[in-house]
Order: sequence, then C-alpha cells, then structure tokens
Amino acid sequence: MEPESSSESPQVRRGRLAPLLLAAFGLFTAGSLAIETAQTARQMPVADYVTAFESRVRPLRDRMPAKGPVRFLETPGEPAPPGRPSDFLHFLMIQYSIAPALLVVEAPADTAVWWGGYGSLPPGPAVLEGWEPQEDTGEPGLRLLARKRVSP
Amino acid sequence: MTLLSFLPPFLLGYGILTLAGLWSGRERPELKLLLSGLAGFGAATLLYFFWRAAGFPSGGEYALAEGALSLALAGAAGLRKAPPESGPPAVPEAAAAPRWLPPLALLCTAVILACIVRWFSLNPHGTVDAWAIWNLHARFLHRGGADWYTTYAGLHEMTHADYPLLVSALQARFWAFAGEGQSVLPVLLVVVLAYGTAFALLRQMNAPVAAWLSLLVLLTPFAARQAASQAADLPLAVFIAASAAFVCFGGRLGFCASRAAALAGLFAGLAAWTKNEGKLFLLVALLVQTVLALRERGTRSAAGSALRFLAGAAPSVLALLVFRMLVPVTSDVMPGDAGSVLPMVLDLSRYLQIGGAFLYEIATFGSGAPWVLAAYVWLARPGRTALPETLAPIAVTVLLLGGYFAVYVISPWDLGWHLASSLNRLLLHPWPLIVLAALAPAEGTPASPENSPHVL
Repeated sequence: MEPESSSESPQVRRGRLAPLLLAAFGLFTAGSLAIETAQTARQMPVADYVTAFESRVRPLRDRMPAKGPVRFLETPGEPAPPGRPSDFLHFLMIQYSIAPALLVVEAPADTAVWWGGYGSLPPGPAVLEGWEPQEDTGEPGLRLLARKRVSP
Repeated sequence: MTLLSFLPPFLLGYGILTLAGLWSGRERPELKLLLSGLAGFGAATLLYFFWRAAGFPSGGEYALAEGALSLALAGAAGLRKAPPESGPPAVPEAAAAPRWLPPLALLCTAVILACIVRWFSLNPHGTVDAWAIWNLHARFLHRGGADWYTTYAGLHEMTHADYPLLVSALQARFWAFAGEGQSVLPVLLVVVLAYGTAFALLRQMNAPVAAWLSLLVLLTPFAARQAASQAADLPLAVFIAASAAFVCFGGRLGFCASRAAALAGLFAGLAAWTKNEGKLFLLVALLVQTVLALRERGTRSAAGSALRFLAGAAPSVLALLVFRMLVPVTSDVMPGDAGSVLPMVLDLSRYLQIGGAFLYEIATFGSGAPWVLAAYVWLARPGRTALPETLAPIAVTVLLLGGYFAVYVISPWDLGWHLASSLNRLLLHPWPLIVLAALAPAEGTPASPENSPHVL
C-alpha cells in the first residue's frame, strides 16, 4: 500500500475506498456461507431423498419395458388439476428413476406402477381394477402391475 | 477418463475459433483459454445432440468421435499461421493489483467452491427443477435408444420437453465419457467458467484490479446455490455475459467489429441453446448490436455485423430447429389460444403485481450485491458518463428484463406462483453482465494512479 499523501484529491480518496467495499462484501459472503455450511457438515452423511427413492424403484425398473409407457397409479388423494396426479412429486421421482421409460398419467399402457405412500396398505380393489399385481419387491407403497388379460 | 473428458472441448473450441479466424491476435492467455472453453463446451453439446439425433449411441463411441474431431481441429488450427494482430491498439499496462487482493479473492472463491461441493454432496441430483427437468432430459438422451426422442416427446408437460438441451447434453456427454452417475465436476465446470468469464474479460480490458474484485462479488449466496442446484440459470448467465461483452465492449477487448459480432452471435446462440429465455436474449443482443453498429459505422456496416452475428449463432439455431422437428412440443409458458391473451394484456392489476414483484426481487437480490456494486461505481467513478459503453449493457439488461415482464403479463399460470417460483432466478441472468459493466474501466481512462480508483 502506498503512503497516503496529504495532497491527494477527494476523488482519489474515494477511489481507495471502492475496492475495500467489495473486499468486505466478498469476505462477508464467503464467511457467512462457510459458517452456514459448517453447521450442516455436522450432520451424518446420509443418502439424499432422490437417491434413496431411486434405489427403491430400481427393482421395479428392471421388470418394466425399457421405453414404457408405464401408467402411474395412486391411491386417490388431494384433488389435482386435470392430467396431474395428486402426489406429483413422487410421480416426478418415479419418472426420473425409470427413464428412459415413459411414465404416463392417462395414456394407455400394459404396465403400471402403483405408488401408495410410505407404509401404506397394498393397493385396494378400486386401484386394481383391470390390473394384476406383479411380484412384490418388498418396497412398501410401491408395486408393479400388469394389465389383466381378457380371455376371448 | 473423468477429468480427461474436459480436455476435448478446449481443443474443439480452440480449433473452431482458430479455423473460423475469430482470434484478434491480442488475446491474453486467460481469455484464449476462456473463449476456447465456452465455445468448446457449447460446441460439444451441439455435437453430442446431432450425434444422438442421427441415432448413434451415447457412450464410448461418442467419446472417441469427439476426441478424434477435437484433435483434428486443434491440429489443423496449429498448422494455420498465426493471424496478424488486428483491432484497436492495446491500452497501456494498468497498475497492478495490490498485494492483498489476489489472495483474498482466491480465498473467498475457494470457500464458495467448497460450499458448493458440500451442497452437491447433500443433493447430488440437484433441486427439483434440476432432476425433474435437466437431469431427466439428460437420462433420456444418454439412456434412450436410437429413437430416444419419440418417448422424450411424450414427457409430462411439467417436465418441459420443449426446453433447449445444452445443460442436459453437457451432463449426458459427461456420462458418455465417464459413465453415468452424479459427479460434482460438471457443476464446478460451470462455476469456473462463470468466474473465468468475468475475470478474463476484465483482464483483457486491462483492468487487473477489477478482474480480482469480480471474484468477490460475482457469486452471491443465491448464485452459488443456483450453481449447486444444477439448474440452467447460471450457465445461461455465463453465455449472456460472454455474448453481451462482445456486443458492448468488443473494441475494448481488442477485437475488430466483424470478429466481435461473430463471437457475440456464437455465445448468444449458445444462450438460446441453454434456455428459452436465451432465445429472447439472442434477439436483444442482435438488436443492440445492430443499433450500436448503425450509430457508429452506418447502415452497410450494421448489416454486415448482423450477418456475422447470425452466422455465429447459426449452429445453435440449427440445433434448435432439428430439436423442434424431433420433439414438436410447444412451450407451456405461452397461452394456448390467442383469445386469452387480450384480457391479460388489458388487466392493469397484472402489471401492478408483476411490477411490485420485480421491485421487491431487485431490492433483495443477491444479499444486497447490486447495492454494494452501485456504491462501488459511485465511489470509484463519480464522473463516469461515457456512451455507449454505459448505455449498451443497461439497454441489454432493460430489454431482457422487459421481455421477461411481458412474458409474465401473458403467462397462463397462476401469476403469484409463476413470479414466486421463477423471478429471482431470472434476475440472475443479467447479473454477470452487470458485474462486468460496473467493474469495467471507463474507456480511454489513462492508467495512472491519479485516474485509477483501484490502486491502493
């Protein structure tokens, strides 16, 4: 740092302050983020929700047609806009997990995945109408279904 | 193989820019590296998309093809004679940064990078937007067969199959090299390119102090979280800044008008290939560049600049057209029927609601970073009035945000929800450009301590 001259103009003096302002902001930003992140670092490392859910869906995915379409079925819940399931978040998570198979809400499909929420009972008769449960993969709230064959 | 996957894009970008004759011969090494990286990663996503659109598989075959093409182009570029220096003469060497600044800026940058790595480890698939849109699209690109786009087009409307593919293709391309799995490296790549854009462009403008200062203010806490979220807003902001820099400061970067126009078009095209908002930016950048060229050099030169801009954007525009043909899904942000637009346009309460949301989000954006930056400009350059260097970035920002405002006016979604879920991210788009414009030295300022506010 150069020695301050008593003859320097106010403009130069203000100019000296300008970088210090940004330096203070940078230090404040990095410092506050570091403290906040350090507090979360004390948490035990656990699998995040998406990874954990994906590992639950994987056994079903292996039994699905590679490209789908796969119908999304759920135990009726909160009313939802047309074309959107009640539990939209889990619809998206199942779609993410089974890609590139396509998950559909209303379009025809021979395979379906039923999502009933954690700890829910097996799909009831209303959900099962026209569908046959497939092998139970042991994941509560998740079940693969196949379209019932209608005998001629 | 993981780290090796980052090499071909730099070679690809260097080869393309050299063979297209877009170097001025006056670039500093960091700018050469940055432009090669930005152009190269953008070009690699286009190459990957065209490869997949042609039905070729994603995997080792693609990695080999990209590697071979990159080597061939870089080799051909190496054989080409270095171009003579052109463009405006170099400005005198500015005063160096004070000794405390580089270590401080690097320390703050390292802390933010460490935070991003930590956040990534907690959410390796990113936020809902990232995994339900961008990473989902990447999975279709990478895992789908030759006709991946047939099932892709059937995706639920809320997963936005119409969105451009740069971010998803960048991820899928990375998987083609390194195998599928969430890695922090693509996230860090975007962050390094963001920091690098502001740093290298300011260094090129002979503002070393401003270059280091940009590292302190660029990634606000919100921007850093956006980077870790794996959404497309930060990559878009990077391409917007790179393109707008060549529109607004091409001459001061040492590039002649024709090269600056082509580079501006190249990066604006990549912005359009990143997000739908980038398509709006492409039009804004073309408009501002044409007006500047008209004002400075006349009609004929403006037409030439516009053509070069469009030539630079052409590969990305072609990819968007091919994508639209393969996946004919329209954007759900636009109202389905024209009859519903007029009542929304005439509804004053919508303007008040949107205006209020803009004011609130601007006032609270980036933990106060815009206000800190405004105070910096006031302290550092009290008499700064030079045109068009100040007006051009402001025009780009105002036109871009004005376009966003107009889209909100005719949005078919619940307006409160739409504003709350997107406006803060949209304000991130011009942020690197604003940082660049605020820190760029005034044109023609002699680099003496008396006139340089940065020297301590």
